[in-house]
Amino acid sequence: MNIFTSRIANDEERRRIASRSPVNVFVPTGENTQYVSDFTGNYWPYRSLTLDEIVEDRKMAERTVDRVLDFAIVDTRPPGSNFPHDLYNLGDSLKADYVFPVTYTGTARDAIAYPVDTYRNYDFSHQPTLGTPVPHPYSLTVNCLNEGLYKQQSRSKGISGTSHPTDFVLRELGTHAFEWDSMREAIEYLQESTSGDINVHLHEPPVTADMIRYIRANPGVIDSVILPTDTDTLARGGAAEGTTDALEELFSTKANDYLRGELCPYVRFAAEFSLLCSSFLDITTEKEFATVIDESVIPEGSESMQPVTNAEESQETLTELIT
Amino acid sequence: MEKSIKHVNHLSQNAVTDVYLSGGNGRVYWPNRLQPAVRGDSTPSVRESCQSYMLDSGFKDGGVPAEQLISMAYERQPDYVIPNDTVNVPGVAMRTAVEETAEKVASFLDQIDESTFPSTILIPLQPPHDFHYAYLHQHYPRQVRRGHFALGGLKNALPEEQIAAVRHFRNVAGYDAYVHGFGLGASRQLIEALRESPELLDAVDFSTPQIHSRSGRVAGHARIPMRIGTAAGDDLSTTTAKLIGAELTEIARMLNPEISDEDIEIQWDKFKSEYERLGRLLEEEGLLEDDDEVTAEQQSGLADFGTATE
Repeated sequence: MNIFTSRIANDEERRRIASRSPVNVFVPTGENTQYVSDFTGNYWPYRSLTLDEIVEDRKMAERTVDRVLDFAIVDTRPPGSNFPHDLYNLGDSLKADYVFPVTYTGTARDAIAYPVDTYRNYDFSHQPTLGTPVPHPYSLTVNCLNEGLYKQQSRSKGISGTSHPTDFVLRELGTHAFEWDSMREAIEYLQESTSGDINVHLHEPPVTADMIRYIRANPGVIDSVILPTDTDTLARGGAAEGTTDALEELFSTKANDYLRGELCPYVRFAAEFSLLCSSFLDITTEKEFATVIDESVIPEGSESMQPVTNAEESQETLTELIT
Repeated sequence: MEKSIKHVNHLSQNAVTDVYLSGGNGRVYWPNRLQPAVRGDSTPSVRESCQSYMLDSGFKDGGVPAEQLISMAYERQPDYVIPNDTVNVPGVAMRTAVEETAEKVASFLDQIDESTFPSTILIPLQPPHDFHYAYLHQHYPRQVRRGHFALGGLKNALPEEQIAAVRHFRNVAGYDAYVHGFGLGASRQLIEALRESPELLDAVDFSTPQIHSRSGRVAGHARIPMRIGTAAGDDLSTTTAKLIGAELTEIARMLNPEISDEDIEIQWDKFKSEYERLGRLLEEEGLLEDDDEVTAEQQSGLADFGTATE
C-alpha cells in the first residue's frame, strides 16, 4: 500500500491514467481469462508478449489481444533463428498492433534492411506497425539508419522514394544502457537523426525517476516503454506478488471471479509510472517530485544515475572504496 | 470496468483500421475520438472518456489560429494533432490549397518545440494528394520526410474517387507512412476497400454516425441511413449516444476481416418488403394526404443513400 494504491485500484481510472500519459507502457504479461468481459481487476490497455511466449501458449495470447487496445509482439529469439517472417505471420494472425523484430548486428545495413524489406513485401490482412530494431551500439546503428533511410541513394535509373519509418525500438536498453545519461543520449540521437515525428519505443529499459523527470520535461520524445520481465530489478523492493489478507482468504470462488484482489505488480508499476508522467499531477518543484517518487514503487536509480550534487563527497566515497 | 466497454475495445481492436469518432457526444464510449480545437464544439469530457484522442484545427473560417491549437494540445494531451490547412473547396484553386496548406504547416512546425509538444503531428494534404506530396518533396522536404499524413479535401468526393485518391497517394508515398483518411464518410464502398486492402489507411474518422443520430436515423451494415425517429426534449443525447454506438459497432464489425463477405451481404428483399409495408401503412392511415412531398422513401431515409458526402 502506498499513496498511489487507491488511485490506481480501479480499472476505469487506470484506463484514464494510461490515456493521459505521454508514454504507453507495455506490460509484458498476458491476461488469460476465458471471456472478453471476464473481470480480472488487472485491466491495462497496453500489453506485450514475446514470440516464444505466444508460440508456447497461443490461447493465452489470443485472450490477451481481446482485452487490450494495443498489443505488441517482441521478438527475442537468438541469432540464427530470428527469421522475421514467422513474427509477421503471428502478428497478422493475432491482429497485433506492433511487431518488434530483433537484429543483432545493427551496424550492418543489410541486417536491419532484412526485416524492413520482409515487412514491406508481406501481404498482411491485418497489418501491424513495424518497430524498426535499433540494437546496440546505438549511435552506430542510428548512423546506419540515417544513411539508409533519409539520404537519397544514387541509383542508375530514377531516384529512390522517401522512406517513412514511423516507429523505432531501442533494443535491450537494460543490458546496454543501464545509466540514464547513456540512455538519454541514445534516445536523443535517434530523434535528431530521423524525421522528427518518429515514435521511440524503449525495450526493457531501467525505469527510474530520472526517466520520469525527463518525460515530464520532454513529453514528446518517448512514445512507449516495454517493461522488463525481471521482477526483481523492475520495482523498488522487487515487484513480488502481494500477500493475501484475512478477508481475501475467505473469498468464495465467485468472489475471486468478481472482486478485486491484489493488483498485478506489472500493472501497478505501469499505472504508477504513467500517473507520474501524466498531466494529472502538477509537479512544480524537485522536492514535490522527490516526495512522490519516494512513495512510489519506481526506483530512484543507481547512484551514478543521480544528478551530481556534491562532487567532492562522491570522490571521497570512490576513494574510500578503492582503498 | 463495464463489460460493454471491454466489448467495444475488443471490436475496435479487431477492425483493420483505427476508427475515430468525430463529434462531441460525450455520452457514448468509443476508444478513439476526434474533435476540433474549438471551445464549445469540443467537450473536455470526450477527451477524458477516450483512449486515443485526435485534435483537429477545424475548418470553419479557415480553422482556429495555430496558437489556440497548440495551447489546447498542451491542455488536452492528444495523441495526434492536425494543423491548419486550406481546404480544396469550390472557389479555392487546387494549387492555392496545396501551397497555402504547406505554408501553414511549415509555420506550425516552426512554432512548436517537438520535444515538449505532446502529440504526433499529421501533415494535412489536399487533393490531388500525390501532387501535394510531390510538391512537398520539392519545396518542403522537412514535411515530406515525416511519417504521418492526413488526407483531406475528400469530403464531397464519391467513395470510388476517395478510394482512388488514397491508392494514388500510396503509390507515390509508399505504404510505410501512417496515413489517416480525414472525413471520408463511412460508405460501404470504403469499408469494402479497406477489408480488401487494409494497408490503404491506418486510421479514419467518421462523423456520419453522429449526423445520422441527430436526425433520428441510424445506418446498419447496408450503410443506408434509416429513420427510426427520436423524441425531442431532455436527454436526447443519451439516446443519440446509443444510436452512435450501434452504428460504429456495425462499422467496426464490418472492418473485421474475420467476419466473412457473406455475413455482411445486404439482403435487399428484406429492405424492399419493409419499405412497401411502411408505404402501405402510411397510405392506409392517411398520414401522407396533407404532405404529398414526403414519400415513404424519404421517411425511411433511403433518399440519403450517399452517406460519404455527409
